Amino acid sequence: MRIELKNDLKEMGRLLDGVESWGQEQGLSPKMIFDLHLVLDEIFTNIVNYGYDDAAEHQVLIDVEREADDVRVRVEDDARAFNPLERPDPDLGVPLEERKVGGLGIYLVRQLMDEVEYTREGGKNVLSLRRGTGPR
Amino acid sequence: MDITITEDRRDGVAIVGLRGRVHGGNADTFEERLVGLIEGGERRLALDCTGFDYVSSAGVRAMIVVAKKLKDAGGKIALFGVNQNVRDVLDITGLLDIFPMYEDEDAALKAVR
Repeated sequence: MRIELKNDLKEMGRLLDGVESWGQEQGLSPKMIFDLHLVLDEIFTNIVNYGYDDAAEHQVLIDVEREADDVRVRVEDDARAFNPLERPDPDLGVPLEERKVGGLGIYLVRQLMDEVEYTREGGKNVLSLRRGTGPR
Repeated sequence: MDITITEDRRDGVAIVGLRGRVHGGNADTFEERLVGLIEGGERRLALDCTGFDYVSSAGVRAMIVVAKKLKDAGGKIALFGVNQNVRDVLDITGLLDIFPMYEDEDAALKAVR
């Protein structure tokens, strides 16, 4: 399944609804669908909020495929080069007063997917993700 | 689906009902409502999460801000009726210690009183 989105958070509903119906067609568990929702929400929100320096309309391409016991997701955007995997994990062990509020989205993505890979291809950011459909 | 926030009071505790999803598009509203309650003088909050279906990192950030405000004000917060998916997100992001969770309203009220 391919979803083409504009870089606008108003597109979120369409993204999440698309993933939900696809996941149901594929017979994925509600937990798996919830996690895919969350992962795509985090990635798309990051691109829209931090990826662009101009006010122009850009396109974000999301492909979601089932491959045997895996779901594979590919997100492609023409935002400025950004490898989210280079971000350090947030420190969750510190007391509330010292908790930083940033970096949680990418951390969630890394925790919820089995594999996350970043490449820069022809001026585009490509994030490829895999998650097995079995119980975790 | 968006988030609907309702407010109720019982035994001196503000019971805040959350229904729907908190994500990047509405986390600000969610944060403002809860911070507004604290700034308005509420010190004991119980969040009814029975209809709270979804939270992303934007919602988690808002919850951390709320917890800090409340702690600074010397208040207490508890959650009840949290579904497993939302609980997992709070667990991964290290919020279980900050937001104690209870089975039902009575237990949550007892914890913050």
